[in-house]
Amino acid sequence: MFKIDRMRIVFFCAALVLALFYPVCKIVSFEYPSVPPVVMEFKVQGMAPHDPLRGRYVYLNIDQSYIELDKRIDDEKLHSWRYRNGVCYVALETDEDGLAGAVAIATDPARLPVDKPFMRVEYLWEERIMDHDAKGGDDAQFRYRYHFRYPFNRFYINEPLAPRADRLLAETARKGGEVHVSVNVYAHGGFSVNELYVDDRPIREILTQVDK
Amino acid sequence: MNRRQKQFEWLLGELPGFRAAGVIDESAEDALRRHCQDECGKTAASRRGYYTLAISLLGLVLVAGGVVLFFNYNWDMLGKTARIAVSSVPLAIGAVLGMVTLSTGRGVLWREASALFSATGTALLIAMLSQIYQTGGSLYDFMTLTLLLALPFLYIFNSILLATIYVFAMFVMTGGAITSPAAGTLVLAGWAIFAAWHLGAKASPYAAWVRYLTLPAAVFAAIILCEWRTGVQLMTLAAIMAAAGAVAAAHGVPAKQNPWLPVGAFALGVLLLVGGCRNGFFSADDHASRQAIIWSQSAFWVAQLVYWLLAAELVRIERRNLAPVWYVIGLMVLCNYYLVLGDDPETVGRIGSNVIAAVAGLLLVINGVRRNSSSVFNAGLALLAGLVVCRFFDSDLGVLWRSAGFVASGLLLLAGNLVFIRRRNHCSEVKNV
Repeated sequence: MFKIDRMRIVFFCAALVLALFYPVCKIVSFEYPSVPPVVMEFKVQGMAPHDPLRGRYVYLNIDQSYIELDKRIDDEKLHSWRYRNGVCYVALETDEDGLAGAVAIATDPARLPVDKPFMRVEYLWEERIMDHDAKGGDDAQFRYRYHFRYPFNRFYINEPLAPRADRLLAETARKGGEVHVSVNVYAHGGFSVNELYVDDRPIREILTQVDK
Repeated sequence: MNRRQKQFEWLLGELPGFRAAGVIDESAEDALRRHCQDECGKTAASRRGYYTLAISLLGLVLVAGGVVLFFNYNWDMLGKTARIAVSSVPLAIGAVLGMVTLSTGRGVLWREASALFSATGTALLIAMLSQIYQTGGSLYDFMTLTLLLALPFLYIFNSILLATIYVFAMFVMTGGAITSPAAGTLVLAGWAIFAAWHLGAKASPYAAWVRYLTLPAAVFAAIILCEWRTGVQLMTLAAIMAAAGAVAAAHGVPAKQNPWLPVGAFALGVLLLVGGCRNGFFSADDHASRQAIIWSQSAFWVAQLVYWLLAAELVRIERRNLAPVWYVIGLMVLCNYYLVLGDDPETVGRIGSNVIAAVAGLLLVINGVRRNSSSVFNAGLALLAGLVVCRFFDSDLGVLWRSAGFVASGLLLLAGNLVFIRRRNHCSEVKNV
């Protein structure tokens, strides 16, 4: 064997280790997290489109993907429309109904309240809303709404179940039922979607029961 | 059947006639016949090799696609561990193929298949993990990671197929790369080193294809690195491409294998004409992010260095011929220093573009006449005519004057070509005499 091919084999092994490094780290971080994840529920609307590579999924449209504040956040990036689709972080809190929502937003997670779980999201835009009911008559005050996109917008399901899931979700929306998604929020700002609930029942359970 | 093979087959058919006419003797006929048959065989074998490669790769892709769809349909039957194991199969196949290829010194098909399986296997495993753990993720992050992890396989297997896919896959990360160009630049640099390696090697079979692949790569570079003072940066990029094409042509690269010169020269001409009339072409983009400005400026200084290295090489080779043209374009690139750093670059940029287009056009015409080269002559004429037409569009002249201008430009092109052809014919007649 030529010397150059021996070198190539060594480099190839190193490249394979490098290629496996990220997947292995991901598996370890989800299977054996150093800090147990916080389970949070979000109210969603769903429909079932198709991904040519990864198959069918339920597209999750999160009900409230913005945060409204009395004061403008002191962060240049969040004021610029150029930062649209940029990375930012939101602190999450569960309300009295058990549904999670964002309570703070920042481009640096260190600026968020330390006692709340946080998540990496995609920043969209800043909206200035005139508050006509505010005290001061003509001196109307402004409120600031920061729109963002939650990263968990997909719930993957099996190919044969997808069309039925689509019909079930449409029917639930028509009847005014509720669809929730349960999400594990990890200490590093990552997440994994646990289950999709239609009227408090897991969607897979409903679909497989219909089968039987 | 390609042209070369046709020529050899024609010669084979003519050999008995040559022999009968006494042009060649029996031994010469035998030697020529053997040579022609060998050449025809070689061409056919090489063509068969490419067909086999293409069909085999298509087959591999279809088999892989079918397997993916099969598991996709039955995905819920498998547990999490089994799903991860199934998702790792393409990478495992890539690993085995790669080891066999490298340890037994296999040919092109094996190298390409190993690179393709290893890179796509890695991409598939990452994509499937996000599906298995329901973690979502952005396409930009996914493509950045996948392309960076594909780079080692590209180099180890010297795979032109993976290099081609890599270039076009870069465009998937365009949206994110504009807001944060660091990762985009890194991905681009990884490919640029591969391209430079092939272009620098004396006998690389992929050099011509790599030159063509450089065109989409340059478009990607323009998208992610020309966010600030776009006109100035695009002009420098086009000047680099034209100069690199001229260097390649001077080193004997055939025109068909050298798309840089026509594409770069055309882009440069268009940019000069646009720069001469459009407001805001040379201004700073106030909305560009600080990061985009820093990356744009860094790219600009690197581009300046590259241009001057190429220009120095051109002046060394073409001292007497086209050197003045490169001096003028170099002057434009040099003026860009002012346009980048100056406070009010619009007027200077507009006037400068017009002057440089006019001088470069005239120099090309003169050089075309001197060298009897119709392509150089017509390139100069086209630049001058384009300049006249564009200035008529954005001037305050009436329709009558504009029509006269268009007629004059058209006549200039026609008359110029007529005079040039007559002169060339006259020169060839004198040479023959």
